[in-house]
Amino acid sequence: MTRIGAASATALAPGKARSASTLAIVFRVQEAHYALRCRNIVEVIPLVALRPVPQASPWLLGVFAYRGQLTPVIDLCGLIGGYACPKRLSSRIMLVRCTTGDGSAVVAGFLAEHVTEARRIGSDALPAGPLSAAAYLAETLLENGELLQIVDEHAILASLDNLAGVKRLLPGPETDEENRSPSQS
Amino acid sequence: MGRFANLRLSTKLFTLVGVFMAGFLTFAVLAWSTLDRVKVNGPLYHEIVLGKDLIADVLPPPAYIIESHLVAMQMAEETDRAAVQKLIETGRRLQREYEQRHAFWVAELPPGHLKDTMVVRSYNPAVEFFSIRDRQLIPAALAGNTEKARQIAHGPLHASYDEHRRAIDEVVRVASASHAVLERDAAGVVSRSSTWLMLIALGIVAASTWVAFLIVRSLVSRLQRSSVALMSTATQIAATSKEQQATVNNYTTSTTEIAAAVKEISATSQELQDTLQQVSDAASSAANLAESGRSGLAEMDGTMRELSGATSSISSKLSVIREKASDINLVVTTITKVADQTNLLSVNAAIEAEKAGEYGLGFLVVAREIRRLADQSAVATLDIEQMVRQMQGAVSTGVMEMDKFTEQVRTGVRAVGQVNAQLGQIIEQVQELSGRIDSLNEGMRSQSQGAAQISEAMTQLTDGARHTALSLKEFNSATEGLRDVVAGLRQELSHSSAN
Repeated sequence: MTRIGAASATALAPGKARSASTLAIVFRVQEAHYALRCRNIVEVIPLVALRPVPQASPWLLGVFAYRGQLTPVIDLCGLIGGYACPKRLSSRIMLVRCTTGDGSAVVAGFLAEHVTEARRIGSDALPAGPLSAAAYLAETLLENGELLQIVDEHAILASLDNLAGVKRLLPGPETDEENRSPSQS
Repeated sequence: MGRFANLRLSTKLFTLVGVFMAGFLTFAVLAWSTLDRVKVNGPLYHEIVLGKDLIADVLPPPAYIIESHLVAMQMAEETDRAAVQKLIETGRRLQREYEQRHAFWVAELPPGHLKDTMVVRSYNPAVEFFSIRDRQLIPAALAGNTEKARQIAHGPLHASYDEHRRAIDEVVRVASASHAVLERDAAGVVSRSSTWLMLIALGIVAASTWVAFLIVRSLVSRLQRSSVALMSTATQIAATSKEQQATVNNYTTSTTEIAAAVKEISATSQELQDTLQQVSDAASSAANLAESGRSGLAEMDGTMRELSGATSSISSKLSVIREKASDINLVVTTITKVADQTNLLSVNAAIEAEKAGEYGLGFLVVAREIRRLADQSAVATLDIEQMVRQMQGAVSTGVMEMDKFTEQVRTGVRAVGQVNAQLGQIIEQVQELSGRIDSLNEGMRSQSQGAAQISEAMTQLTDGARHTALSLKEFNSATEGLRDVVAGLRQELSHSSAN
């Protein structure tokens, strides 16, 4: 933990120097490190009680009411690793505002393990490209000697278009993406 | 003798009959010749009769009173008194002799004409003669009256004498006639007896020959049958005796083996006796050991009970520690929760600061500090949690160990009790065993003696068997001899039956 704190301190120091660096929430699936850029993250909340969605995929854990809106929660452990996310204190839901394939903006929750750190990361990806065939695993970074894959939340939601359950849950299309963020914060 | 033994049985029998008959014939001839010599009118008879006749011719007959008559005549003529006296004495002696002979003839003669003539007709005149002589002649002669004496002698005295003489003549005539008749009869009897004797002798010879022949025939046939049976019996006896000999030999070896076995038994029982003595000693020492072990166990029992109590108190104290650890865990959980919330707050603060851009930079530092605090508290919590967990684990292990130990102690106490009881039983049994071993020892001793006696008896028995075997061997040879004899007999009998 001390090491993580020190790492984040060192990561923060060049972040100030390089404007290219962005803040990202780092989490783990199957001991591999992934990251979600803070650009669209609304809030990180602890695991709450979810209402299960009948006849849905196993990684669509359920829905809950977030500030008056039904918000679906997708299990990244289930989606990427194929296992149910263990219910620990460090297993947290990242609420992300994103646009679906038809251009509508929604807030969706992503559950993952070890969501404990906000880290400033560089934007230059490794030339090798993505390590997976999945579209939502956009780019791969080398951070302090360890591989970090950036998860694209839009791609995830786009790949979920064919899911009637999710689609129905999604609210209607909004005019402006930028207007939504200040209203939330 | 050897030549006689080789003769056939029938020949022997006939020889016996022949010898017997020869003896008998010799006897018969001797008897016949003796009879011929001593028969009436035979030579001996003639000699005897001649002797008697000679005596009768020479001596004056006492039953005839002729001499008395002569003495009376002399007395009548005699004048000398002394001579008269002498003649009187002679006459008296003659009278006594006559009376004796008369009494003899009265007793001896068979009744009839001869006896009448002899005893009555000749006696009465003689009695009269003696009476006349005594009453008339002797007084006259004594008186010297010769004349009167002469008259008396020639008168009545002579008359009596004559009468007596006539009766005597009659007697002689009658006796001679009867004599001739007797002689004739005797000759006839002798000749008839001789003839019968010859006939009987011949008949006896013929009959004995016939009977001997019959006896020989029946005897031979019976003997033949008997000899066949005897032969088979002898063969059987020989076989049986041989078997018996073999059996006795086996018996001898068996008895020898038995004797050896009995000797071994005796030795073994002796060893067993020694061993039993050792066992007895060991049993008594075991009893002593068990007794001391029992007292030791009693002490151990007390110690175990104390240990059990101590274990219980330790166990209860351990439970208290566990409760305390639970409390600590509760606190740690609370701290963890606080750390978690702090961490979450720092993450969200970082996000918000990022969103605030240049204005949020200061807040970002605060967020970072908060996060570091949360990390530190989380590390501390983790350390405490780990320690508490280790403590709880240790306490649980300790409680489990204590429980196990308590259980073991209880088992130990029970086991000690059982061992105590078993030791008591062992002591009891060993004490019983001691008595039994004594009796067993006694039995062993008597058995050893018995085995010795059996051994002795076996030796005697073996000697007896050896003697029996020898006897059987002798018996066997005797049976062989018997068989030979029977075979000879059969041969002989077959010869005789062929005849």
